[in-house]
Amino acid sequence: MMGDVVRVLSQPSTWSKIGVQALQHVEIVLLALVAAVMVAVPGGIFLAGLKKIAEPIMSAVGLLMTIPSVSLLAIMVPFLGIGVVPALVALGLYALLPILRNTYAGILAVSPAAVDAGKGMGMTPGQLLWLVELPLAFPVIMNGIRTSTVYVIGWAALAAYIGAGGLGDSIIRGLSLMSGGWLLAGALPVTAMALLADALLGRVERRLTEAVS
Amino acid sequence: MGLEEHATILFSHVDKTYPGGNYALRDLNLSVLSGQLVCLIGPSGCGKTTTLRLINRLVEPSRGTIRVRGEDIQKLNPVALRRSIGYVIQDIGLLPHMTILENIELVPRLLGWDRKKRRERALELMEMVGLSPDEYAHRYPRELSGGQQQRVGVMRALAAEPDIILMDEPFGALDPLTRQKLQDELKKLQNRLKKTIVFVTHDMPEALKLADRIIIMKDGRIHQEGTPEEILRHPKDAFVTQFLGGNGQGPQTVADLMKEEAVTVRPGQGVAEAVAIMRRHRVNALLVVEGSQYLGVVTAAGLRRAAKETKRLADLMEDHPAVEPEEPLETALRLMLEEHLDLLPVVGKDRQLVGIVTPSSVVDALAFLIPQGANGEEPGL
Ligand SMILES: Nc1ncnc2c1ncn2[C@@H]1O[C@H](COP(=O)(O)OP(=O)(O)OP(=O)(O)O)[C@@H](O)[C@H]1O
Ligand SMILES: [Mg+2]
Repeated sequence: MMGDVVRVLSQPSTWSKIGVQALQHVEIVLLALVAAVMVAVPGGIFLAGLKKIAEPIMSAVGLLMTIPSVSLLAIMVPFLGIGVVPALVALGLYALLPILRNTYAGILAVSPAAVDAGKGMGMTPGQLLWLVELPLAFPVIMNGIRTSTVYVIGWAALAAYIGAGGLGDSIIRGLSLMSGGWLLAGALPVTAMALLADALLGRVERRLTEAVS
Repeated sequence: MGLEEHATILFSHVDKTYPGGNYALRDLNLSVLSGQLVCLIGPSGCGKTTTLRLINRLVEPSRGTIRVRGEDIQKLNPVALRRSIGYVIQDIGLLPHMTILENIELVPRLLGWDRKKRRERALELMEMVGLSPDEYAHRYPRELSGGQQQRVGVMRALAAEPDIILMDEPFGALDPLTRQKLQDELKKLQNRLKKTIVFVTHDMPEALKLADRIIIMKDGRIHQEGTPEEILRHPKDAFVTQFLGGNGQGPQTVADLMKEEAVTVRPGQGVAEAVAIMRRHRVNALLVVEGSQYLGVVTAAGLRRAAKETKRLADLMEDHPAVEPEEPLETALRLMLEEHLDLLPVVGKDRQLVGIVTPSSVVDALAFLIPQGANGEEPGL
């Protein structure tokens, strides 16, 4: 096994493959996240305005998040087949949940004094949202985006099972060939990517928190 | 009734009940004429803030009608109404994610003023309230003291030059000196620009100083209203008298009573110089101050007794009782009136001189402490 690790990792052809897969991986993650943000942020804002119906929806969202990612990926297959599209749908759905939950909670947590001040100065509901509620909720929303990003980077590796491509391909290859080299070649970049995203987005989040406290 | 038709703000039979609460306001009838400064004063929970917020429709009445500039506000667009009325919020309510400048420029921005005009206006206001734009314009509210934030709250309300301004305890967090300065500025502004102002305060001296008319509220109703003169001369009952006479209101601490400008000398100065300063300022005692630290008092009697060879004031300076600004008014009055002192230095931390109590400030305080009216004397304001 050790010999295999050295052999695989020292081959330039391995790394050119990993380079292509890493790009694919990033692409899947970004697509899923952008789609999730575009749905979840407006959704969270909308729900924050309708507290009565929002509570059951948020509980349902909490339940959905407990479905293991492998099952969710598997569930996609009978409906959407295999390939990039079902993988994106599953990852997007997953990414959606933390962002939706945090947007909702973040908007509700905006200090009533700030909202009152905005209203008292003559803001329309739209201005109140753009100039007060969203900026003040932004650190919390950002926290949801960070959570989703880190999860989705990991889950995207699993999505290779249903044909999404990305670094998961190398991991699967390592597993089926019993090759420690391929396993590491796939797993290390995924881990690095997740750590890096967590650190970078964590910094953004702290900046934002400082700016609104 | 003729006057009321021209009222800028007019409440007719207004009730307000909050959900699940008792009456916050009950059958309130109130008129504020154009260019008037009306003070609302009364104990906590009597409905002052509710009254203000009814005017800009942050609160909707349960019954009755409110007219602003002659129009029933129920028929007006609340957003446009609020932009046309300056509002200083009780708990300041600055937007934490906006800089001081952005906070001040907020209403002009909502009204669509161009950038240059609103910037000029904001800088002008900062100068007026004594916050240096260089230092503070780009800071965030959390980087300012409570008193500084309060001044920003006042500027924000004035920025769009509204003709009506609602102020909810706007000077509560300010030190006496700044408070006095802003009261003077406000009064000037109102006289010069004929602003209509509704001003909530807990502080009777402030109301007496600023108001054209004072409305004393109690339990959601108007208890007494009148000019400061009328209220001082004919307080309706014990409740009003108590309001006029301390007991939570009026001057309470030495800080409320003292004068900030004291005539001082340095310990290294000579006897002849001291006499010259006394003559020029028509006083018979001087406070000896090094840096701004209070050291003692030189009196005219002390100067007269001084031996010929005494050259420096340091040698004939006398120890003299001093008080701190937070001490109760009563301490200063007792020292002045019963110990027969002619002056009382007020010192803060590290014996920094912050002010002086003189016989005339004592008389001013008495004007509040002793109910006027029975004998028809002029109130001592
Ligand atoms: N949003 C609200 N919901 C329920 N009750 C309220 C609300 N706002 C005020 N009240 C009640 O209405 C009454 C009047 O309150 P208001 O804030 O007008 O008093 P105030 O005179 O401004 O008091 P303070 O001097 O303490 O500021 C109080 O009994 C208060 O508890
Ligand atoms: Mg109040």
